[in-house]
Amino acid sequence: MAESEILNYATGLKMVNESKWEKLFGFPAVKPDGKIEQKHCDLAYAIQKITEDIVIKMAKEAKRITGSDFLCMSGGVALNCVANGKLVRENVFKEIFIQPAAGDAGGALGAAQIAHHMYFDQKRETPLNGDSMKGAYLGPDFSDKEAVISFKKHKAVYHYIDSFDELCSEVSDLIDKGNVVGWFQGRMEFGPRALGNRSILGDARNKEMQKKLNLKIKYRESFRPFAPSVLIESSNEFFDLPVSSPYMLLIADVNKERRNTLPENYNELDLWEKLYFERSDVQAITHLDFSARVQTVHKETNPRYWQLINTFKEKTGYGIVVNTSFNVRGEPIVCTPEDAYKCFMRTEMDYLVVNNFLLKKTEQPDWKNRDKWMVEFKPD
Amino acid sequence: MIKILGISAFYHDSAAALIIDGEIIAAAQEERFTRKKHTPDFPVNAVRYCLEHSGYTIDELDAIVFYDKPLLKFERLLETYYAFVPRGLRQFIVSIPVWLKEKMFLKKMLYEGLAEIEKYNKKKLKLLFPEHHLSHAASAFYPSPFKEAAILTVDGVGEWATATICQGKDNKISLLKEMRFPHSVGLLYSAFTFYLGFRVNSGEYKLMGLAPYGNPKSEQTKNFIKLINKEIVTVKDDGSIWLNQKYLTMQQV
Repeated sequence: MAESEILNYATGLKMVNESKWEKLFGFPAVKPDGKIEQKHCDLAYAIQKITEDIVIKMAKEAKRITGSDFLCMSGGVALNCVANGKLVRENVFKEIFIQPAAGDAGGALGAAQIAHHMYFDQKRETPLNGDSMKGAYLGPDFSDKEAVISFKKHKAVYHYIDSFDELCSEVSDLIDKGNVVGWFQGRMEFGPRALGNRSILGDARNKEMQKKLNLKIKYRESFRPFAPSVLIESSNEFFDLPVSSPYMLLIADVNKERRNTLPENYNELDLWEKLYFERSDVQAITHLDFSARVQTVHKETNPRYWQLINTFKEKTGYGIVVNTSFNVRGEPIVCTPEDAYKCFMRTEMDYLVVNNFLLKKTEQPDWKNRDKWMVEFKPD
Repeated sequence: MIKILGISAFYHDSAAALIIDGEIIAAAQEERFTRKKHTPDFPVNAVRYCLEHSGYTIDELDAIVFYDKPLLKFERLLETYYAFVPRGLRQFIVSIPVWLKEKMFLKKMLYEGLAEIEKYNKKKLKLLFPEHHLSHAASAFYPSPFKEAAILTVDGVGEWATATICQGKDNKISLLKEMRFPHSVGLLYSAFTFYLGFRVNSGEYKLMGLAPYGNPKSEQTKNFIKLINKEIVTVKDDGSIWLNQKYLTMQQV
């Protein structure tokens, strides 16, 4: 391998020898935003399957040479939650921990930790209850005062709800009625997923929710349905998931009794028809193969988010909501109350909650042409 | 009390994390503050946040630790400091002890980045560059609920060790096995991400989402699996792989 070629790996975005690939698979490389056909889906399936097999073999090798019952994972490929889900089901290890910031960002944390334990030779206390990531809620939080300053700057109309119980009750009703709610609380998540502190929420049962979130909030269509946040206590009612998944890094199957029968011509439907087909009573989060990318919500790490979903459960019987990251396509997840308000106003989100503040879209001042986010944030 | 700041920068998704006596106090990605997705910039804002949240200054830290991305270092070093024609590159690399120089170069960039945050005493600052694979494995093992465990890291594009198996026990991590560049699962997945029209380094997620639309039972799918295994990747029993470079000649665009 010539070094010059190695260097091209690092910079080069053109990763394949296209003519060779075309010859092998019988079709040219897809152009960005090009039309996706069945053959492309089949090839995606093929490489995903091969990747899963490799990850499982590697895990088995790790088991063989360490003899351990436990596995820890990190690295970009560890974000492949489909492969992770399969690995859990293989039962190679008793328990698996995956670093939620599995990509480069997590490297900052790992670098600090390796220095602490191996350079300064400090003892390590094994965490007693779960991991020591604090639910990945490791970023900045913002006071009511800071929120008010942002609201005033944009002449926003806001209501302070004194009691959090009351706020949860009101927001649950709003979600139940089909509204999309921006939910901003406490410390920002570390890693690529929004885990209930910088999230956009909706009703997983709602048949229109997936479309609404795609077209009116995210401004893009995703092949993947949205992810659910489910109370850990309710997880078994919905999913075949023997373990917890606090960081949304595992997929699990939706329980059989919740599934609908597929029509005979199902395989002939096109991609989007398939996506929007009603597959279960929690349609917005059920993928084509009846899987879901689950986040289990734990009272210990996020009491406020847990309480909201629990209130929703008391009212509807469903301890589950749709959770998508608080951003538009191409934008990083919001950090500050001001980012949240802007995102709220740019989209057709119905309500925004920041700490104990509730904001209703129809009460807000006109935002049209106030900014050019479509230019600012390039599509993913 | 031991206060350590970890920094990941100059590649993809810059971030900072602060730990005190082993406890994770604060961690954030720079993109959230600058509103530039996956920004590689030095994480001025994320570092500032970590310091403000804890109440410490740079001078009060026991160490600042940098997360190394080996391939990146070549790239940036050469890009920034030397003008070269690609053909001459190979010779350049084998004939010059880059590693020494590039560490100095990185240090300089780090010093400059930190100076943007506040005044500090450069002489007192302890800068550490742990081995890359150790940092990676550390982020998986140390926060885990296990006293001892196997550690598997499987990386994406742009690293020497593309997958490692380590063992963590108490406060130590040891490397048992590694797979080396260019034989990489991340790279393989990214190549298909590219071929199917998605962006490398962020579109992998879309590829994964697309996969269930494939028909596992169709002849086409079975044939694709056969072709990939025959032509592009050889998977051995221990999970190590061999990538056929004929299909992966990287081209600069």
